[in-house]
Amino acid sequence: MKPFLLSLFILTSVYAHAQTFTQKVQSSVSEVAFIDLVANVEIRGTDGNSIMISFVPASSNEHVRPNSGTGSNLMETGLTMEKTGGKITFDGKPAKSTAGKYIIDLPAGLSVIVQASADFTKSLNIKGIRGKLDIHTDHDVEIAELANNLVLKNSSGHVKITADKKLESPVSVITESGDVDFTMFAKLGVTLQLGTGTGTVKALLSNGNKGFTTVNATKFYTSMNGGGAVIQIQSLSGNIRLSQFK
Amino acid sequence: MNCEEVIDLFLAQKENEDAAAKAEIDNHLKSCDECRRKIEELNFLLAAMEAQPQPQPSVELSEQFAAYMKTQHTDRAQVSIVRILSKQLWIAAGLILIVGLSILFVLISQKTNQRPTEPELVQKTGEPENLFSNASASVRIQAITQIDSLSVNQKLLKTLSKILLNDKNANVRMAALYSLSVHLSNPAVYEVFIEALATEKDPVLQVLLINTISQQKTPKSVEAIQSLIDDSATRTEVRTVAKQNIKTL
Repeated sequence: MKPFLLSLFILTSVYAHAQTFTQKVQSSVSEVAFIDLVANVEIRGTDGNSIMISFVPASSNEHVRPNSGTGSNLMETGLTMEKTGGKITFDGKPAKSTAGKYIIDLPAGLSVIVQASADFTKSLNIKGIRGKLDIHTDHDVEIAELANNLVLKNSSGHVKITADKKLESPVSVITESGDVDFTMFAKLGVTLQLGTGTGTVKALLSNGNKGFTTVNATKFYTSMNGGGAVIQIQSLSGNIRLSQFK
Repeated sequence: MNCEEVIDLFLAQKENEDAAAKAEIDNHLKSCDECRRKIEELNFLLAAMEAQPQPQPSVELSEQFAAYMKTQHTDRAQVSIVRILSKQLWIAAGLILIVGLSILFVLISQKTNQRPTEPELVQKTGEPENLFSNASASVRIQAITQIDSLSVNQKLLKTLSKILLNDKNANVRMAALYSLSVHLSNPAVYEVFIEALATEKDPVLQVLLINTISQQKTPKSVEAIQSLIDDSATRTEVRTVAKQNIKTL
């Protein structure tokens, strides 16, 4: 019982320190950018019309705060915020990196940009965003329910993408040493252009009721189900794994 | 406002030219790709319908109408002629409706199967550079990937070449590379690939360029790839791929 109560106390303490900021999104805004956030980041698409950013510190005495930058200082989350035209930019640079986590809820239709230099933005998880995604990070990236254009450049992180069943937009992924896992609906029409320098492209393709066919190569160019969304994934030394779900 | 309301409001706004409704629609379209696509199609359809010539009554119908005006002596005779005229008008209206629906069907079919893409619009307007330079990376990639590679003109080839050589975004350069690689047998395009290999700094793109250039088994390909092997700044992985490819040339 004691360990349970202790765990509960620690968890409560940590979440009690969660720092939250909420910004209502006007209809003129179509794009949100996150630049050099200093922690792990989870972005979730919602049906609401507000951006809600919570910072959950790794320890109870940890706080983040912006050291410089333009725009309003959001002391609760360690970010600055700036609105230019139809774009809102949140900037965490050059605050000190932490092991905490940002949880960001925003309207699903917004396009999202995540740009981070090597020391910033640890793991990045994105789910349920229906707008365009433009991501440039050096750590692990996981995208679920990809439904729109994706431009992703990553050096060493593991990239994992699950496409929406109705994906029609182009996907462009470049990694250096990181592996890429791309999963899509078996009946999705796609044009695949996958390649790696010194790694391997492995495609586990659904073969109707007969099971799966495996392809091993350094490049794999093909159209499936009559073609459609162009999927370009290229790595320098990472492996690329393509799989399908029924 | 939901998506169904937007389409209704759009059609009503076209009739009334209501600025407030237009602003409301524009706001919705900023966050809804599906509605934006539908509105684009509706605009296209409405423009096509407006461009159609106004239907004119046939000569026969005009003559009958003139004869009717001259010969209307009695109420009885007038009623009789009007009945004939009404029948003719109904037939004419029916024919116009059938022709109109046919045109509508053809236009919708064309629009569904062959929606004009940005590159196609570029080919029509002849202004590719503005389109490609002013858009975000994802829009530039979308435009490039929608190009029908086998039907590009010289102007578009030049634009794609400029993108491959100069675009600041590696993903956009990769899209241009894939699109241009279909035209590798074109000497001008091959020269662009050789130039790109000499100037490209991104190792991932270097590997793609090596693999593409190696399809042309010429001394120039060997020379270009060998230069990269000899360059001390070349990444180990790139050098490995270069050496594997040069053996095949």
